[in-house]
Amino acid sequence: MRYCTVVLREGAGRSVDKRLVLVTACLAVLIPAIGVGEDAKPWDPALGTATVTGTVKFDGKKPRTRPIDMAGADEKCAEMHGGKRLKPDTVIVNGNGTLRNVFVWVKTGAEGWSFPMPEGDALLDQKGCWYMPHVQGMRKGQSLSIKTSDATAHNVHGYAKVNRSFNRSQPAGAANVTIRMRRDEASPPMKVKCDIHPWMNAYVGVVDHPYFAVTGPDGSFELPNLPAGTYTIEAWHEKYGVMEETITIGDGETKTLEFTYAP
Amino acid sequence: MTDPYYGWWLPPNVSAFGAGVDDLLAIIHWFMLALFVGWSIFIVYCLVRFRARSGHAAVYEPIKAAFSKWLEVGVAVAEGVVLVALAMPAWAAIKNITAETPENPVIIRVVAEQYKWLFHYPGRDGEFGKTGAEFFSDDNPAGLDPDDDAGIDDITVRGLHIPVDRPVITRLNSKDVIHSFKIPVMRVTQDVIPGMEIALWFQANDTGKFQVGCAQLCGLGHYEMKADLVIESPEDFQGWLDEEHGYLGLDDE
Repeated sequence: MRYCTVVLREGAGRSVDKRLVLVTACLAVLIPAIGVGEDAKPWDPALGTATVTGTVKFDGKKPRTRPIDMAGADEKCAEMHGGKRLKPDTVIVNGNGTLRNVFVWVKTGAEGWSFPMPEGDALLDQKGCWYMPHVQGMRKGQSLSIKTSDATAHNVHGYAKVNRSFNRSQPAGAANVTIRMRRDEASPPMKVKCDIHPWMNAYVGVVDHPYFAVTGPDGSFELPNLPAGTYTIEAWHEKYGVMEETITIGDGETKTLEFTYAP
Repeated sequence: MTDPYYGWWLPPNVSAFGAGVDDLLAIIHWFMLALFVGWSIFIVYCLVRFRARSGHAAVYEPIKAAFSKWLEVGVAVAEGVVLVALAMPAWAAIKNITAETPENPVIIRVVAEQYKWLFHYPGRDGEFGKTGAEFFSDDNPAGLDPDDDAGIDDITVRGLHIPVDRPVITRLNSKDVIHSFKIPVMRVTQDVIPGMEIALWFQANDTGKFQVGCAQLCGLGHYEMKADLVIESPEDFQGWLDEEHGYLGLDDE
């Protein structure tokens, strides 16, 4: 399947006849593949008894960040923060020395199941010219619903590298922009930016299973309901990149992992 | 400034050298009007004088009269002189405002990006932190070197604050594409070119709140690329700088 995508992209420069042949060949391969599906078994919740928990530590010099002045560029947004200045969400080191906004997910080991889809869309809110949440995970096949709570215009620009990228303007009071994420895109997650307010950015990791988490104010994560097995767990931070750990857990076990970013 | 509105639907002029720019604009427009009216009269005269009518065949020979030949040369020379006479003062004026020469200036680094302006002040130490394109990131929109201590107290804001009656030097930088730094009330427009730092100076002679815009189509969000221009008394400007310094939270550390 990946080969065909490459063939189709690289075929752009070839003559029409050759491209036609390539497209036909690829369709012949792909159509049966779509029909059969990826031989995924339906998920049996009784198997999900193991849990991986952990924390993401930060051991290094915290970068200097400056408060963001919105007032000079967008008074309506500045007013929503009541004169308070926000600092970038990029590097937030919690009081206990842990790192916030790290996307932790099961990179390998959870394939082969077809998990039930969560109800509703993943929500990304724009409030006071700020994306909330800054980092989130969602399921492949789920829709990302981007809401505006602001009295100013936004422009939602999704810099997807695997999924189809999008760029939609969203005036004040406009309906949600809804984007269906059809492919896995977690390493790295898709970046979302506002073209009108350059300080606005968010990340959305798209995963084919429910085993992902984002570290919060205590820097911890939990990946519950895993079946027994061996997993590669990846931690991703927008500035400090990825870290990987391999872990084997048995039925009913809870194991703890620790990632340490030491920039 | 006694008259806030200049007239002729132009934005108010609060620039120390704005009157000169407006005068030049006025001279050029009056001159264009004179040329337009003169040539229009001549064309209408020709249309009537040489209209097709019976008994008057068209002549297809070139004109050989010496007078009309010298008249044509004379018109071309006169227009050339006028062009140079108008262009040279305008060029001199531009050279004047892009040279970094005024005394006791406020120096502000400006970073243009799709689609906002960022204004970078040196802070209390009066010294800009080292900057470079390699340092630009989401949490470092000014491209400040994180290891340079001179940059700790630098102020980066999205609105341009300047004091009245004091020269302001802006050092214009672009992060991505060509932008154009335009302050209509200050009568300045200067292209901002990525990879170059272009200095531009101006001086306000009245206080008020105005707008900075981008005068070069720079992409989809070009229309949103604007910032406030706040011209304040020297005391208010200092007060604003102190307030911004407070936001840095350096005293808490």
